[in-house]
Amino acid sequence: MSARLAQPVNLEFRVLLKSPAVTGEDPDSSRELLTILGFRGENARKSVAQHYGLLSVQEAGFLIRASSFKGLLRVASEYLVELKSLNLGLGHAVCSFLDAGRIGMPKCVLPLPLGEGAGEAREFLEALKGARWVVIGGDRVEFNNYPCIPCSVFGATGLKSMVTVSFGRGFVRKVEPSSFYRLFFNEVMRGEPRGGNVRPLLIHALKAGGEIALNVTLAGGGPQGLRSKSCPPHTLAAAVLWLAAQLVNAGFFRLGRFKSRGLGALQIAPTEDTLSKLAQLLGAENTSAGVTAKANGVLESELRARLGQARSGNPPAEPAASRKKL
Amino acid sequence: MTSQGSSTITDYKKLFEEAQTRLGNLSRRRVEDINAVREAVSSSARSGSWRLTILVYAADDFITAKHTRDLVNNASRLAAHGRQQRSSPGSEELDAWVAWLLKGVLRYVFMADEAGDPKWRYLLGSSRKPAFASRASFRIAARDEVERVVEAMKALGAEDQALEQRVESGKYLLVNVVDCYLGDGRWASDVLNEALQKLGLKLARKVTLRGV
Repeated sequence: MSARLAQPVNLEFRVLLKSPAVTGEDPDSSRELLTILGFRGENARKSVAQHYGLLSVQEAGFLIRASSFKGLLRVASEYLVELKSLNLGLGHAVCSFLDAGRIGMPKCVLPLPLGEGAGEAREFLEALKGARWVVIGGDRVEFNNYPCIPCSVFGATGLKSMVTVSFGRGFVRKVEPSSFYRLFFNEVMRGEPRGGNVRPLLIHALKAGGEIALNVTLAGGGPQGLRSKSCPPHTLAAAVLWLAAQLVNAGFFRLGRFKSRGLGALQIAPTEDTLSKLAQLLGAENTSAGVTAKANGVLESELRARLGQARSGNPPAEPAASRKKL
Repeated sequence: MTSQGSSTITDYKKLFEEAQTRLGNLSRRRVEDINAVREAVSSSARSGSWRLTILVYAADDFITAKHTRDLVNNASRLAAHGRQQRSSPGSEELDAWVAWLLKGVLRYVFMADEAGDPKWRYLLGSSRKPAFASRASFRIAARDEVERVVEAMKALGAEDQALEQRVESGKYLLVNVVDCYLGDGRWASDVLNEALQKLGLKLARKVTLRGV
C-alpha cells in the first residue's frame, strides 16, 4: 500500500432533499439543546456545528445531526454487502444478519472474546465459527470475515470508524423549514376531525429542494489485513460508501421520520473533484457509471477473499422451499 | 372483500366501513399477528430469502381520480386546521398528499380483504411495535426521476423486468420494497402489487436486486 493512500481522503457530496424530511429538533428543542451543551449567543449554532457535527438550519433554528447521514450510509451498506454476498453464493457477510442474538443489530466487537462466555457472546462466537468467519485451531485464530465489511468501514465496539461525516461550509441551495399537522387517517376518511380537545400533532420538516454540503473523510484504515483482505482499506471504504449512496439514491433508505409516507428521500451526488478522487482510489473511469462498476468489482473481490474459501468448506445454502413462511 | 370483486376500488368510504366491521376480530389478533410477522422477518433475514424491489406504477389517472381528490381535499382542509375556505393544493403538494395517504388507503384494503392474514403487516409496519418499521415506501415521481432511480439500481446489478404492457404516464408512483419471501412462490411485493392494482394503479416497471 502506498503512503499516499494511508493519508486521510476528503470527499465532498451534495445532498438534495427530494421530498420533505422530518428530522432534527424543532426550534424550541434546539435552543434547549444548545443551552444544555453550554452554547449561548449568536454564534452558538456555528460553534455547535464545529464541535458536535450538528447543522443549524437558518430561520427555524433546526439542528440536524451529521451522524444521521452516517447512519443512513451504514445501514444501506449493510443491506448492499449482505445482498451482494448472497448473490455470489457466499452466504451471510454482515454481522447484523447473522443468526445470533437480535437480527438487525451490529454485533462485531474487538477484541473478539474467545473465552468461555455465556449467553449472547457465546451464541455469537458459535455463529461466527459455524459460518467460518472465524476459524479457531489450537492456539491459532484466523479471521476470514471478522470484523465484517460494514463494521470494518463504519466502526464497531473497539474499532474506530474510518468514516467521519461532517457538514460543509454552507448550503448549496437554501434549506427551508416548514411545518404541518399530522392527521389521523380515520379523520381524513370521515372528512372531519375527531371530537373533544384532541389537536393534531404539529410536525416540523425541511422542505424539498434544499441541498446540503456533506463532507466525508476516510481515515485511519491502517495497513491491509484486518479491515480489508483484497485491497487497501481506503479503496474498500470508498467502494462501500459509493455503493451505499446509490442505494440511498434509489430511495430504499431515507432520512428522518415518515419515510414510508414519501418523506426523507435524498439524492447524494459527488462534486467533480470528489468523483475524480473516487475514480483514482478505485482505479476507475472518471464517470459515475465507471465508479459504480469498479466499486462493484472491488466489493465482490473483497467478499470472495473473505468468504470464498470459508464457503467452500460449508454445506450448500438451505433451499428456498424449506424456508420458514409467514 | 365482497363489494370490490375484480373491479377497481373507487368508494373509499365503503372500503373504510367494510374494514371497520372487521376491525373487532382484528384487534384481538393484532399483537399476536405482529409477533408472528416479526419472527418471520427475522427468519427471512437469517435464511437470506429477501431482496430489494422497486415497483413503478403509472399514476396520472390515480392522482386525478375524483375519489383521490376528495380524500386529498379532506386532508388538505383538515391540515389547514378546520378552515373551510382554502385554495386547492398545488401539483407538488398534491403529489405529496397522495403518497402520504396511499399507505392509509392500502391499510384499509388489506384490513377489508385479508383480515385474518398477517402478511400485510410486514409491508406496512405497525405503530404498536415502534421498532417494527414499514418495509414499503411510497413516493410520486416524474419520469426522469424514475429513470434515474432505475438506472441506479441497474448499475448495482438489479434486473429490470420486462412487462407485457408498456404503460406511459406523466407521473409515477415509486414503491421501494424490502422484499421478503412468503412461501408458495410469492413475495411480499406480489401481495402489495395485487392491492395496488385493486386501487387502479397499473404496473409500469419492476426492478429487483436479488440475493439468491
